[in-house]
Amino acid sequence: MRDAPLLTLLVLCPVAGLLAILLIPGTRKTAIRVAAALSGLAASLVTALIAIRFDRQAPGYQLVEHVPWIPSVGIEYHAGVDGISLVLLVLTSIVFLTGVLVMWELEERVKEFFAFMTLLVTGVFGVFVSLDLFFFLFFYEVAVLPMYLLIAVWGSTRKEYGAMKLTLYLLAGTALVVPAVLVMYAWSDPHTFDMTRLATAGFSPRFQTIVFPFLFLGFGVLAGLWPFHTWSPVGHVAAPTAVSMLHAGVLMKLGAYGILRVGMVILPEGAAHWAHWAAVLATINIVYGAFVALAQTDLKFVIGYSSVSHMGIVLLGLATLSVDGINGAVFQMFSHGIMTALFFAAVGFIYDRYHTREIGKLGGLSRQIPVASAFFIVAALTGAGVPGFSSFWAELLVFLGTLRTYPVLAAIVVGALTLTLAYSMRVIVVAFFGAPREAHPEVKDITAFLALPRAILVAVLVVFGFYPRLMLDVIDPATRALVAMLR
Amino acid sequence: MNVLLALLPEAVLALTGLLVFTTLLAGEGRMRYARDAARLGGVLLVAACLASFGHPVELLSATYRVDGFSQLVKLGVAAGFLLSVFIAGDGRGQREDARGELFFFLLTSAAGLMVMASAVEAVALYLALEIASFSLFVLVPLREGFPNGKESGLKFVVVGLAASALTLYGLSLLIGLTGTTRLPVMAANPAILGRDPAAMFALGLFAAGFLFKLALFPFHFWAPDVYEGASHGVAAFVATASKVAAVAIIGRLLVTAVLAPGPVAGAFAVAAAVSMTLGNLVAIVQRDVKRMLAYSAVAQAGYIAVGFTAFTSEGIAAALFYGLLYLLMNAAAFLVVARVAADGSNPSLDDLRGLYRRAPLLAATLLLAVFALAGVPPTAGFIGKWFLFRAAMLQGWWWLVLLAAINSTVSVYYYLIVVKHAYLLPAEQERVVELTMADKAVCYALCTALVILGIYPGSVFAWANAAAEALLR
Repeated sequence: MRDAPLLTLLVLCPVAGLLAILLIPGTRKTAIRVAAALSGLAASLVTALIAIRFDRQAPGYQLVEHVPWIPSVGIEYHAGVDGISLVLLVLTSIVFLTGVLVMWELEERVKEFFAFMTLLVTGVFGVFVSLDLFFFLFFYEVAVLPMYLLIAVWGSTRKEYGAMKLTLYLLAGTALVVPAVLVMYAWSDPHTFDMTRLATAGFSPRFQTIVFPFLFLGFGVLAGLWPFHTWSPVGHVAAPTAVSMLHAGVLMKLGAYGILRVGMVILPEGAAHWAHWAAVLATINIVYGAFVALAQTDLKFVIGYSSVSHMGIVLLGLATLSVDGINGAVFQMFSHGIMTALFFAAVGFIYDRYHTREIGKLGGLSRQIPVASAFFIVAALTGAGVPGFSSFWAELLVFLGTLRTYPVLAAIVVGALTLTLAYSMRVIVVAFFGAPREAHPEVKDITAFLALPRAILVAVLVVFGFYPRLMLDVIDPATRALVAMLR
Repeated sequence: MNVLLALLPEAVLALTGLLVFTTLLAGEGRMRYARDAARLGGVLLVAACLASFGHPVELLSATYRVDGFSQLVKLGVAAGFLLSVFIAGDGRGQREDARGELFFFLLTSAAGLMVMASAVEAVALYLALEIASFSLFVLVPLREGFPNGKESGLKFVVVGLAASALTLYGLSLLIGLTGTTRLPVMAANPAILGRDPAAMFALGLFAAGFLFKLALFPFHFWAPDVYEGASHGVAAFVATASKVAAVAIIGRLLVTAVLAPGPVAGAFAVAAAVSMTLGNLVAIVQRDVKRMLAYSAVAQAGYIAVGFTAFTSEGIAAALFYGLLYLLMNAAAFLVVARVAADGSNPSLDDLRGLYRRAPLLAATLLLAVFALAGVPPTAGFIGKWFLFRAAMLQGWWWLVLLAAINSTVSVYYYLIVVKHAYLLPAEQERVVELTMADKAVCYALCTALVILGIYPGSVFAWANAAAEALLR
């Protein structure tokens, strides 16, 4: 029985949403919101179907679709999914759906917002299913450009600056990746953009050593690699809630995924050569991010820098080139994605009601809005790596992997994780407990409808926190295959 | 029959020319008649070009060749002509008494460009170049309401004639060295084949006139002033039809030297690098939209030159394909410019403010046009640049491709400034923009084309490939 083209169907779900939204007149806001939510629901259903059809024991890519696109140039539409991409597709679907629900109260230019948002999600889905470098980068850039408009029009603090900085940084990263990809194409024999064929192309070690840094740094910009991370906190703070959720939750993972799929798989010797440097930079990410987060006064800036720190954990896991490390990195990609989406959703509610994000102006929120506070606190605890939530397992695996390969860095990372606990606790104690620092008008706690998306995110964190095998059974075979290729 | 079909575009051109000329005898109301005649002629011209595919023939003692390449270029010129006539609308911005003549001279320029596409003999090529150029020399200074119109016209003429002089000089050297004026015979001449430095130099000089039309460094100095100084329709024509033809002819000239790239490729690479960088950096500080588009055109000429640097049929195919896409992108941008500043004046960035509310369709068209110019998927600009960079990389020009990629990122900055004004900043006064049904239809058509071609360029790219191969035969 031939497989239905589920992967293409998945990519088309947000496209269908986009077309529907373009056709609905801008005044019919509820219809637009419903259309976006339905496309999110459809995407989730298709993802569930893909997860069900996915065979954990089978090696290699599954649900493969292969259509020649522009044969004269070597471009094919080649889509496929393995354990790692499946997990990321699930992440994207969850964040897409909850993101739409979180923005339900948006009143301003609703049509354009959801149009750009669905376009963005199309790009993300496309990247995760692509096995052809042209389409990989095609969807990658589709996911970057709507960010400018989404932040510049609907954002808050320093939105124009944040939007421009984010877009230019990310495209500068692409400017490093595109030539590297074209070089790999030109040096392969026969010339191809197909990632599976390039993986066996047998590039010389010297070639790999020269080209890998371009891919690592280029994709690393999107992953928030130090010192190219400065776009991230500013961008996240400026962005509206759902956009922050998508960006920190999903888009930054695109960068790490690019390093994994394009960098490490195609240029394994290059990756091995630069692994130590990558690990050092990732450790700086973790430590620097944590230190700076400790000093922030704006809730969203705390989350922004915590994202930089947590992406460091992902990059460190990748840099170990080991099964545990990469398992941990992918698990962390998922876990941090959900956690940070929850973070931004929680802060979004607080900002909507209190019109401030300054920690110094809030206080005692847990008494005024207990349910909404709980969402934030759960996210903070997850970030700190508290057992019972999924990040614990992710960080543990990364730590184990690092301990074996870079013991010194592992020691530093443990220290940084303590710092993470410190800045998380600081925010919780100051903003959510104690007495209110400023008088605020009466604010009602979060409604059931708005609590729904946030509750979904909490549920996901708890489920994987108590039953990590659900995740690891899917990722592990793919990781082992990958590491075997790296040797 | 074969010859009739092959020459159908030229026949339609001649008839349209006669028709438009006749309407100009009408006196006061001649603008409307000329406009309608030009529009009708444009539509018929596009149809004629499409019908003339697949009837290759060589005429006039092998100086005039009709093949896949020439007809593709003619189609591009016809499309550019039609779009420019449409953008020109009622000729606002053109001097009051020259509004009818606007259409006539656009037509003669298109005629020159079309003959250029088919001419395979150097003198015929030169003549066609001059016909095309002089028609525009006439139109540019006849601007209303723009005090520097005469200055821009003068610059255009002076720089243009200087480029023409270089072309003539190169031509004379070539005739002297090879003893023939026919390009295919020249290509087989030992002087060319043996990379005789004098022959390479002569070829380079000969190309000067056409590089001028492409606005490639160092022949770009006219572009900002002319784009700003010309009326919208004329500027649109310069940016679309004229560019496509220039790209095509340079392709043809490169083929003449295809067996001997050597230092010429290096020269192209340097010209491309400087063009891109200069164009992008200066565009950043522009406040006048047309001037910004001019500097962007200089940068885009640099990207096209990256394709030429490859000196292979793939490079030429990529350049030709990008030239056609470029036609669409620029047509979309100039359509928005012309409708926003419907009185014929030059809009500044501030005039774009609040466009998302005043005219959402125009804002969306501008968004797509600008993203296409920046090379952002899913618009056609991304895949166009991909093909250009691929062709260059296959010949080892990694540093040029890296520079081009970085330049693309830099260019995003000023393109986003345009988007920012149209989508984010509120209008100071809510100036209504009126769009006719035809305007809306053209907007939708251009937007759809830019997105569809960006996802599946299949057929159009196949034409470009076939054309490039026809060139090499």
